[in-house]
Amino acid sequence: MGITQGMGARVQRVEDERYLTGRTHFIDAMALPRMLTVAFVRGGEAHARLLGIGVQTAAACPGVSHVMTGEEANALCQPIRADRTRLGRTHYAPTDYPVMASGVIRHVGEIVAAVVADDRYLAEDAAEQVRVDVEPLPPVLSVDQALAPDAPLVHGTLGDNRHYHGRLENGEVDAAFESAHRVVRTQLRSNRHCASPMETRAVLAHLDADGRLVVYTSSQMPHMVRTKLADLLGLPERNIRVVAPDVGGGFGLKCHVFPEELILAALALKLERPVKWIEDRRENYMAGFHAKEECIEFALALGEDGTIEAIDAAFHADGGAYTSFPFTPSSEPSMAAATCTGPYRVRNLRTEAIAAYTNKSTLSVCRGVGLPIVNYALEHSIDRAAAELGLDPAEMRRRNLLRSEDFPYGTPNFTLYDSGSPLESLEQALELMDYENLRKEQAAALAEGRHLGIGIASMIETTTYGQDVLAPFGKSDNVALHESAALRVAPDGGITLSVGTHSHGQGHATTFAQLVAGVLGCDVGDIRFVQGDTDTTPYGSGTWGSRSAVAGGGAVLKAARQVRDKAMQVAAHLLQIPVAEVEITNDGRFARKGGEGPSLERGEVARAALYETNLPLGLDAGLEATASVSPRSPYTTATHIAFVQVDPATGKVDVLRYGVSEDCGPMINPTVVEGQIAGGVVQGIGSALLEHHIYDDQGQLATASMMDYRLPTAPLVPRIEMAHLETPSPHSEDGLKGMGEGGAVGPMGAVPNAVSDALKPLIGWQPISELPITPERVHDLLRRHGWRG
Amino acid sequence: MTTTECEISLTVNGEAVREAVPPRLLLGDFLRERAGIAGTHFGCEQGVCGTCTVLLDGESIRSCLLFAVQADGCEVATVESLASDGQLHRLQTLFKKHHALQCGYCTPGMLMTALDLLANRPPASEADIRDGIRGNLCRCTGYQNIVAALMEAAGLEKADGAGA
Repeated sequence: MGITQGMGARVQRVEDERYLTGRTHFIDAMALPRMLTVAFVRGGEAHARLLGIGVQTAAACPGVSHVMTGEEANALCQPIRADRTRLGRTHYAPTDYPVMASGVIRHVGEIVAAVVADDRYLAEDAAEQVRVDVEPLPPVLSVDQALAPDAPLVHGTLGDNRHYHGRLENGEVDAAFESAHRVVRTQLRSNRHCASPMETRAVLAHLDADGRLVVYTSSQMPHMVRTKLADLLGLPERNIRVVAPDVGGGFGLKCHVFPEELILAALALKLERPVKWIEDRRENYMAGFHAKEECIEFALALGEDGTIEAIDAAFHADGGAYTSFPFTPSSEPSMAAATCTGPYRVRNLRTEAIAAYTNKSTLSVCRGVGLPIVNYALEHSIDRAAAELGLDPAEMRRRNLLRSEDFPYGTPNFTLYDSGSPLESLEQALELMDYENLRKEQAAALAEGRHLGIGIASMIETTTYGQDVLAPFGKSDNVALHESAALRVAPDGGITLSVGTHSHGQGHATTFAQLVAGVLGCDVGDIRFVQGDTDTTPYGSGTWGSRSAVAGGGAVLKAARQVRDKAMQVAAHLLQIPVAEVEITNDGRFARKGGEGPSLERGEVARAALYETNLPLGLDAGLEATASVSPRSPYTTATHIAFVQVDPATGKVDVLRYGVSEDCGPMINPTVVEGQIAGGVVQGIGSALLEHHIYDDQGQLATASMMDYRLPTAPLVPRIEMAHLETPSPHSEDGLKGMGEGGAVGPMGAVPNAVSDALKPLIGWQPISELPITPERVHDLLRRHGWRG
Repeated sequence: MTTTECEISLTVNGEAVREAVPPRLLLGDFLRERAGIAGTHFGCEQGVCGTCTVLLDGESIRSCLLFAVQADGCEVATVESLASDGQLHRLQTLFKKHHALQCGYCTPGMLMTALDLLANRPPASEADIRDGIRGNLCRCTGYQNIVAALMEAAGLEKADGAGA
């Protein structure tokens, strides 16, 4: 079984049954004796001075144990901070992020008090009775406003509203623009997005029998949460246990350390009773972090043949109220700037990245981080250039894309792309969608008065985020970049694998087991997978940034190989043959190469190692290993093609077909890879067409429910068509690359490109300058360019 | 806020349950906290996302939009009712086969909606299936493999390459 379940096999997931039968350990299903429930009182103003909080009425409500205000919470817990060293000339101004509003409320939804009661109904009753006295202050509600000279300050202690301001220039940018055959300069605005996992955030904190603090949290990074709890609550880290049990999706929202986690911990310590908080959707949208909202100015200098001679790009992000930990609002624009040459040959580059504080929920990382914005700006600019030069968008790309022999490729961003196949991927995607016929279908439809559009988006995905990518930003000061795995074989041959990553949909219990199966020749069913508990897993920063396969999986492979090597030594001794003569057979037995003579089961080898029966001299007892990987960042390349229909009368956009060619290196389990691609693409289609958090002119969030923040539903999306290339990375274990985010990246370019293409016969090629592409915006664009139907 | 409790009796997954509950207790909270059946989750508590879907007398309903007292005298079925004697229900097997779940949080509601769809409004096409689950949000799968699983469950020809 081992070989058939190893790398590349479409193994059915081993973790599915508990989800299918409802026997899950999501935090909402957990209860402890004497447990209390927390409801938060959240500020209702975008920007206001906090004058006082009246809690007497609330404290006297039935079932209420305690009402904690900022004065108490901020005395028990230090503010969250994300400091950095290695900054060079980059402007970086982090804020203190107090766990409850301290003196000033800086966004709607900021915590001002926590009510603890016997159940959630009673806690919410009492929360309504908390009186919050405020003096409104002028809110800052856009990045443009934040950067204006006379802007009110979101944080009075900072000289201006800039959180981050980085610049880069490499090559002869001005000269390239001056001598360009054509310059294409486009201003774009991306929408304010949020991860919106189906499970909101959730925390349960209590003290165990030894008085240790135990915090269950719906997190992608339990070890980072534990480290920060210790740091900010002033506790020895060994006296804290953090558990991320079943987690209902993360998409980047849950790879932060949140005030709610710290407050629940402080309450458990104070009250010495278990306390639980299940976030409601309104809180999740008001106070869970947002993503992506940026103003972008993107310019291409083009040669006569369509060659991109230079790029000049500015990304200004609406960063929200506070510095998130560990990734900070700078991640969005700085990653956009750092990747904005995409998979193209570009020599001359100038970038500017700014994140500014505003009175909105904090902007931080979400699936793709910066890359979706780049895909929108770069790919839309390339299609615009193609239209202006009279080139087919596929041909425009052929003239500029890197091809596999160009790798490794150093970009003008000082990034080293390890490997990939952008041009080959383009050709595969064109074939997958039958591009020529698609163009014919488009022409035929136009003759019948239907407006179809084809949008291509090429992309390169930074994955894993090793030292090579994050250290220059100083981000490695706040987040561990290695990942670890521990593998232990029991006397019966059964294997326990524990890891520092966290799977919340990615299928690690299966894919990591497949990696072990490939090394030890066992069945995935022989492996018990452990994650999420800081008591029983090795240190790691968890699952984010498409890092689990390369960093986590790499550590699994290393640990498995160490165990295999030791098992071979023991087996050789038991079989009385040289180590070089031992092999693991297809059914996982240790035997002489060629299969002659006696053989041993894995359990027999493990027993000999554990019971030291006939162990070779000099070999330690036991059959286990812990390994870690400090990865460099491999790059995944892909091409997305959207085929849409636009109704000019209503402005409605329907995605008819969608195809992806992706090269994420060797696939551990293609079924899991395709599941990630499909899920990512649909999130990306949501970003392009539907999702947007809207604040009104007072800074009130107008989209604080799932009725208003529109997520894609099944009828709104097509079946995603896929094809694969597999170029291994030269510098990861077994050539693995990450791929968790890429699906959500390509639609940000492909969908706007398809819409502009569809409208071209009516108004010429016009850029979609704002996302999401709502019917009103399509309608306005048509009217603005004189189309009256 | 003390309120008079109401006595209700209902059948949950085939077992009779009799409880005194506050009138404002949601059916979903009742199932989790009173009946000890915790497989049903809330995703929005506003009836939008479908995560908390259960069957009430055989029809799918949102357990966040119904008070427990409204289920008095009814039969409620949750995801826990599907597998029996340690054997997964066919729909559960097909979800596993097609990789129709990732984080698994929406899965109980999706399964209960699908059960109602297949039993009461048999889909004749992929479009019918997509339309039939439009009231259930999934943020992980892009619906692709849920649709593939339901295509097979409905005995419909699998579209070329679907759910590969």
